[in-house]
Amino acid sequence: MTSPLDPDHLSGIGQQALDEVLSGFLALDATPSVAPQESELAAMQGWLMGQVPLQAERRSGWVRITLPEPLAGRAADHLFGPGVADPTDLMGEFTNLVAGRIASGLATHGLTFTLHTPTVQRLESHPGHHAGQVRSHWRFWDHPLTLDILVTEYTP
Amino acid sequence: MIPKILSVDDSRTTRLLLARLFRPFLCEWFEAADGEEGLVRAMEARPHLIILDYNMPILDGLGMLHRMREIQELRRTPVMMLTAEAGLATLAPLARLGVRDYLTKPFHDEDLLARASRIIPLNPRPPETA
Repeated sequence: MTSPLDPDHLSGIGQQALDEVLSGFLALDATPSVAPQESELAAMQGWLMGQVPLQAERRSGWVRITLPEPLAGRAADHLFGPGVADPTDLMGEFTNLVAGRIASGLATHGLTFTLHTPTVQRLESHPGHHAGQVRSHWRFWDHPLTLDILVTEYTP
Repeated sequence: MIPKILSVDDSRTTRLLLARLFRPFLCEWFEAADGEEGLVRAMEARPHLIILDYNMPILDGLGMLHRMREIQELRRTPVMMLTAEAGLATLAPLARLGVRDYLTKPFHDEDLLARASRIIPLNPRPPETA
């Protein structure tokens, strides 16, 4: 039987979570995509990276979402009109909801994770390297979005 | 009676979404960004419904619920919980604390309004005050 933490399975849970939250929370459709070209990433200055730590018995990890800062601003304006919502807060809640869906997906396989509160970091450049088990790429409004998931097991 | 609703959520985005959702209805709207602030606002406003986030800094939703059950004035205030994840480990303690209903985020607007209307009357706001 395949483990729910198998990269392919985890990737499927992550993609479904992201798809549901994008459509349900942001009223947006995103398209799964191949990894963006380095040149595209390098051309964009200013990224937001939302992160939610996950904790379970003998397991820990995180869910990270990275997207261009102007895209978060545009999504906030799309949701409420210009200048109403804070893009950083929206990014934190967006990451929180995706992490929640992923945790729910894992819970159906008997893996119960606690979610910690989200943090959002502003980065000058895209963190090209990733330390996660699973990375998937998406595009909306012709901008890249990256979802990274890491779950590790440890012996106490 | 004009129902008073208190949204306790650390995400301003979610509070904005909820405020917009209830704006067409005759109600008084209150907000707090964590459980500690939520308790203070709840004591001041004495809401008829609290829409409470689960995962918050300072004092989370579960902590606020525990504290509410120890406060005479808030003990019976109906609470609808919003959670980012729907695992049994999250939901079981909520049921024990008498939470009236729960929804996972992102919520569907119609679903949330339907559940709220089982707890408080939701009448349309007259056009001139909308």
